[in-house]
Amino acid sequence: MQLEGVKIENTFAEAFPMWVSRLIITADSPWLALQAAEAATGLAFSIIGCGCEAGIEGNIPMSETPDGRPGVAALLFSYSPEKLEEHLLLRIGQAVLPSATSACFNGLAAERMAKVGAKLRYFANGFQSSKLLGDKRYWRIPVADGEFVVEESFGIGKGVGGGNLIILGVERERVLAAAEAAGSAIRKIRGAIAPFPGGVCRSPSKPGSKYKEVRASTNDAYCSTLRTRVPTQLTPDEQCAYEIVIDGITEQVVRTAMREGIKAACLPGVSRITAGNYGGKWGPYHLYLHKLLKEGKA
Amino acid sequence: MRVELEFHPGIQGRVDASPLQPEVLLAINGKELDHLPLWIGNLSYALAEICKIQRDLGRMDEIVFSGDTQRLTKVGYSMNRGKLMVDGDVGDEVGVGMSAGVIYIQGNTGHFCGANEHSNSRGMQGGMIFVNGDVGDQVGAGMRRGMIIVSKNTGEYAGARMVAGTILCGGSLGDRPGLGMKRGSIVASKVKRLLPGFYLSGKADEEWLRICFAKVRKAGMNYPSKWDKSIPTRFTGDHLEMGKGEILIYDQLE
Repeated sequence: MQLEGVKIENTFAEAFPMWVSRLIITADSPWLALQAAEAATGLAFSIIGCGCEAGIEGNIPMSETPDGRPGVAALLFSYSPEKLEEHLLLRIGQAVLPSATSACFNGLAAERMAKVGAKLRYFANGFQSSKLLGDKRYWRIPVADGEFVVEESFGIGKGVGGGNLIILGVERERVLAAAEAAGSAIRKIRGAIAPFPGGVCRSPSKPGSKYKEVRASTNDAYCSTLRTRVPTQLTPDEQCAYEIVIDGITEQVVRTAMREGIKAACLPGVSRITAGNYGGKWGPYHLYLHKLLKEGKA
Repeated sequence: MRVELEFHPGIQGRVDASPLQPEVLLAINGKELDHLPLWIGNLSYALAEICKIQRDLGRMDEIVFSGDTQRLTKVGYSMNRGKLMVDGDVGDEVGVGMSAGVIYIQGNTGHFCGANEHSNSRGMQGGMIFVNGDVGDQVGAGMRRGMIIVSKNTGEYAGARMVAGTILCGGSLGDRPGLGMKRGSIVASKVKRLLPGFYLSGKADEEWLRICFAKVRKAGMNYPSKWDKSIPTRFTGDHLEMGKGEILIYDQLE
C-alpha cells in the first residue's frame, strides 16, 4: 500500500495489556501546571528501564478541572497495578508535590483504586487533614506556599501499550521531521501518549542480549551501521529509522493514534513505514497497518 | 418518582416530619402514604389529613414539601439518600441524623440544622443541606461529615463541637461559632465574635475551597461570588480541644 508516495508495509504492531492511571495536575497558571506534569512524567520512556511509561495527554480547561484552575492531564502506564501504584506515589510525591501551587487529582474512574493521597499524607508529619467533599476525600498537606491537595485514591484501569510505528528513509533530517510530525499528531489524540522525548525514539530495542544481566538490547536490524554484520531490515538506500511508541487507554485509542501518526508521517523523504512485532506470540493486540488505515476511510 | 406534599395552612403545633424520609415515601404505595401516621404535638394524624399528596411516577426521585411548612420539624431526619426540597420556612432539626442525600430549603430553618440528636453527640454524617435563608442556633453542632450551605446568617454556636465537615455561611455567623470544635471548617463572610480558643492564622488561599465551591456550583447552589476573587482570613481552633478546626472569614470581623 502507498500513502502520499510512502510505502506502508503490510505488517502489524504487536501491543499488549498494561495498567493505566490518569492524573489531573492543576496549578495557578497553565505554565506551572505543565511544569509539574512534565516533572511527573519525566524519565518514563520505556517500561524496560523506567518501570513505567508516561506522558502528557493534554491540557484540561479550567471549567473541567476539580478546582477550576488550569490543568494538565498525564497518563502513566505500567505492567502491574502494584508497579503503577509505586510510580504514582513516587511521581506525585517527588514531582507534583514540590511544584509550586500544584494540586493532583484522579482522572480515571476505575474499579481498582490505589491509595495514593492516603499514603502521601504522612509527609505532613501529623499535620495532615482531609476533606470529604461529595464522595471523594482530599488530603491537605501543609507546604510552604499553602497546602498541597491530593485526592485520596487514584483509579487504575486496563490500557494498551506497545503500539508502534517505524518510519524509515534516506536522510536523517527528513525522516526526523516526519517522525516529529507523527508525534505531534499522536499528541492530539485524547487517551494516547507517545512516551519518548518528542514522541520519537531513535533506539528501538529487542528483548534479550548477549549479556545475561541486560534485559533488552539495540534492535540491530534497524541500525544502518550494522547492516554489513547482521541480517538487516533496511533496504540498501535506507540510512535512518525512528520508532514511535504509543500507549493508550483502549485499543481503539491506540489504533486511532497509529493511524493519525502514519498519515502525518507520510512526508517527502520517507521511504517506508512499518511496525515492530514478535511474530504475534507476545501481545494479544495485533494492529495491522493496512487495516487501521482502511478503518480511517470508513 | 416525585412525591409532593402540600401542607394545609393553619396547622397548630409542631409537626414531627421524621417519618417523611425519601426512602419511606418513595417505597410505599399511595394508600399507605395516605395513612402514614404523623404526630402533631401529642396527637397522631394520617398524612392525607394534613396535606395534599401528589405522586408523579414518571420523574426522577425527589420529595417536595410545600404549603404551610413552617411547623415542620425534623425534616430529612436520618435521611440516607435522595433529594428533598422544601418550598418555604421549616422548623428545628433539619437533617438531624442525616448520612447522605441533599436537602434544599427555600426559606429559613430553625435551630439544630444538621446537628446531633439530643440523645447522642453525632451530628450530620454526610450529604448536603442548602438553606436559602437564615438558620437558627447550633447549625452543624456535632457534625461529622457533609456540607451545610447557608445563604444568609446563622444563629449562635454554629459548628459547636464539630468533629469534621464543612459549613458555608454567605452572611454572618452568630456569636461564638465553633465552640469546642475538633476539626472541620466553617467559612463565612462575617462573624460577630470569635471565642478566645481561636487563633489568627493569617490569610489562607486554600486549595480545597476551590474544589468545594466547584462542587457547590455543580449542585446548583449559590455562595457569594466575591469569595471566588478574595482570600479569607483563617482562624484555627478550638484550641481548648484539638485545635484542628478552622474558621475562614472573607470580610473583616464585625
